Amino acid sequence: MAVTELTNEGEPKLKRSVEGGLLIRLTNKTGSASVKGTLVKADTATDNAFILTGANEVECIGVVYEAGVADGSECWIVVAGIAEVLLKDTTASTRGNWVETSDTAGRADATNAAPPGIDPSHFQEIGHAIESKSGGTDVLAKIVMHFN
Amino acid sequence: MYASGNSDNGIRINNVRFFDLDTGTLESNTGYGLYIDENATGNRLALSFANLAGTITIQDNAGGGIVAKNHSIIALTNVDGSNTGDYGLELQTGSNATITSDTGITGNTADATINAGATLLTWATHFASDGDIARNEDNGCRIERKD
Repeated sequence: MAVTELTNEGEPKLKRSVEGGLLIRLTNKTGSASVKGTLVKADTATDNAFILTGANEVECIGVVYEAGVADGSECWIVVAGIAEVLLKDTTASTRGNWVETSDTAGRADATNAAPPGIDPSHFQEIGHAIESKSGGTDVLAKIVMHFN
Repeated sequence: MYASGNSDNGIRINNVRFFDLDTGTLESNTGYGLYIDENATGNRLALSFANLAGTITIQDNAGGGIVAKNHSIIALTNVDGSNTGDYGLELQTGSNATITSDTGITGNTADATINAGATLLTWATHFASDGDIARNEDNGCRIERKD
């Protein structure tokens, strides 16, 4: 079931998710259909758009909320609150862990129990895990988002 | 029911409480095929309800297919037809509609709108699945697909 929230002026670019996230709507410029849970950053080529984060990214701004939105179309991303992030394959998530961008583009690393407290890893932080998941392929895990 | 070629709307409802149409054609009217409104001079007991649940064609109407105003409630089950006006279904000020997968009424600009055309709604995109909803938090209008 999908809900299209409107105002008299059109479709707003801000809304809440049922999972507890604050969402904004930007254009998907990842080059592919959107994948739920992937980490994104601001596009440098197009206004009001996002691209995938690189490996060990320090400029993550959010997490894709909608799957299957075509490249070039507007897509909701989570920028605060609770988000489901796509873990780096074969890595687990443990609730309470510090979560950062991983060495795989667009994926999260939730394997660290404590923050490193040093640059540049400190700036790779995207939040704190609130859900434990076993490692696998394309596993989503919930975090509370927090950026430095 | 057959209403065609009127110099205003095919059917206008604003002084009855419930209107049920099982089969018919509302076409080639200069206004809307169906115009539903509350009784502006009466009390809220005059809210209008319309149930179009049979095989109904609303087409070639210059104002649009259906307009529902001022807290009207409408259910469309198998209503089809292309209209020369802007919208197949237009809701205004607190009106609600339920549709189904069989609802196919269209307009020249879009299938439906609930914010005066600021957002163009299509049955195939915004109501692709049972339970899909579009709602306007400013004016209280709402369309829900309920198969």
